[in-house]
Amino acid sequence: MTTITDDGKNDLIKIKLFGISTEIVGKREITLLVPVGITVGNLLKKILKMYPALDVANIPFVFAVNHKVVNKDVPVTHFDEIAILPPVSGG
Amino acid sequence: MILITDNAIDLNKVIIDVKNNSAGAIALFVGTVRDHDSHGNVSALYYEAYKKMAEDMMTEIENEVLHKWNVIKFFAIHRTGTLKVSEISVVVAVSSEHREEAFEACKYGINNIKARVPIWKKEYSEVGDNWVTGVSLHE
Repeated sequence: MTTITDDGKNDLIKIKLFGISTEIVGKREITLLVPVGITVGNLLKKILKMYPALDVANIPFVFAVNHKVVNKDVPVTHFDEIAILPPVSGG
Repeated sequence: MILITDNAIDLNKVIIDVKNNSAGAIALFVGTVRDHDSHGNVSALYYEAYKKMAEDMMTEIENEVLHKWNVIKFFAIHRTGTLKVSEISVVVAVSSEHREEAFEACKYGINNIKARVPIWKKEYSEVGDNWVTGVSLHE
């Protein structure tokens, strides 16, 4: 796994996708170069800008960081396992 | 015990796994693939899990059940992959001394699995493929 931190200002992070978002984006994982210490709320804004189709779909996403659902103010780094989760529909 | 698996669920095995000499009851919830929904006929469902997190959440639910009720054994299983109509998608099995706690614990188990475990399903129906709208997860 590549973990590049670009001059300490930017961080290359990976985000796992599931369900409908995998299908819209066409990938199971996306990689983004973001400012160090970005919050998941700002990360979502970047993702939606990068993939307008995901924005249009208007899905109430939540983030999981290291397998726990977190609020939008939580900062993340490339050491974290980050996932964007659409509403669940198991059962 | 909890399990997320691509393999077919054998109910007899599940019952053997929760059976216990001090149990007087086993409650079993079995979720199966229905041949229709509000859009029309459904031919199959595809289940996808965020496996590690789903296992963590199912274990958390199991621990809550064991804490809240006087349960002897708890076993929850969720299928992943493509399931045909009538196949078993989810099972919650609970053994206890008496039936009331088995029923209650089983109901709590399936309701919380549906609301809190990161698993998604896609329906294959006559109007096309459609990811099923679900419940937003909370912290």
